[in-house]
Amino acid sequence: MRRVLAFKRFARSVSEPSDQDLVAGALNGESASFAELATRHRARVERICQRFFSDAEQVRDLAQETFIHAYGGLKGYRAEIPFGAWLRAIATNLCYDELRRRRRRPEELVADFSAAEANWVGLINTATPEQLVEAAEERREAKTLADKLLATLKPEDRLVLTLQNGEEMSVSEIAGIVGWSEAKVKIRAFRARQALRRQAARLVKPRKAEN
Amino acid sequence: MMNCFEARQDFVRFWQRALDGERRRDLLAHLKGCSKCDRAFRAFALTAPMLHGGSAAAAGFAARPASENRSDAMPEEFPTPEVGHPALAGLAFDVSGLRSADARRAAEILRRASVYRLAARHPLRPWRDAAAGLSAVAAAVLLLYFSLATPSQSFDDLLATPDSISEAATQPDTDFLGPQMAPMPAVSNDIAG
Repeated sequence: MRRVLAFKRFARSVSEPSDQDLVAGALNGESASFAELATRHRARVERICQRFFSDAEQVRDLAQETFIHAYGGLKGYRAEIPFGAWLRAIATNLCYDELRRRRRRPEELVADFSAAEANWVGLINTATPEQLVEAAEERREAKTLADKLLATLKPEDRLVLTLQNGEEMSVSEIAGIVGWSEAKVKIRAFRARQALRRQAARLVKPRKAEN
Repeated sequence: MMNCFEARQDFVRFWQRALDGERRRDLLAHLKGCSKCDRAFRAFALTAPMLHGGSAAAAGFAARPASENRSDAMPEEFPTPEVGHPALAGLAFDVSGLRSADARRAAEILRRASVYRLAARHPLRPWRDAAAGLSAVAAAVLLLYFSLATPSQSFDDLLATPDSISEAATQPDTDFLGPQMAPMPAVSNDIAG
């Protein structure tokens, strides 16, 4: 399957103008080339923004801002990096800036729960471990609640966990995008996981052992 | 009986249903008996859908579409023709005089494939490449220097002329003292003058 996808990509790269060709066109003042680039990469950029923000309006604004930044910085773009990866780095950094601007407080968490999420928290406190594993498969709110827990973390913690778990990026990729050392990314990811579990533990009621 | 450390290590595998029968029974028994681990597991269950993929990601939301999967990263298995270097590909087409659009396109395909292959094998590390280049140049310069610059008198020449050795041996080995100082003027003991 991967080979077929790679071959399709390869065939497309021959028949269609590559990203690099379009960048060259845009640098020569052809606005249609940049419009084509934006069309190609819009979905992916919006998906990255959705990882950080659930508000559709906000996602669209950030995606648009990403392309504005990209257009402004097109002269600084180096052809050795895939254009998609370059855009992804811009989008990620814009989202990080936005996260830092609007820091959420942990106290807001409980007030934000929907009925389904509150129900899931209730189940977490009452069901057996086996039932929890079964139930998590069917419950969408398990994921939305985890996202809400994530939203209570510091922006840098949230950034690392989102990129590592949501976008499945490696430590070196994250380090390249954010401009941190790989050691810092690893430490930050470790602390972010700890912080997330601490937040989760606040929702779990202590229970007496049965024996 | 499983201890707390072992139990917590198995959380992820239990969540992903990768725990075999006996181990799974041990874990469940431990969770039943240990309130701290039970609480830790419930906190883990709240975060697992995001941190460990979990069943929620398998249900289809928040997952990266398969068609987009890592498409902007360097492909691992790119269908690369066996071309030693991109310059060779260009040279081959230049030499054979093929100047049609198809030939140019073929050369472009070879060039891109080779660039992808090279880039996949060696990601962009300009400083490392520059340091390697400088080291190679420095080594070449040193090699050239030592091969061209011959000493004024070789050790073999010294052995061939025993007199020079004996002459050298008779010289006082006082170089370590530096230039000899002039003799100090005699000091008179007549203090009163």
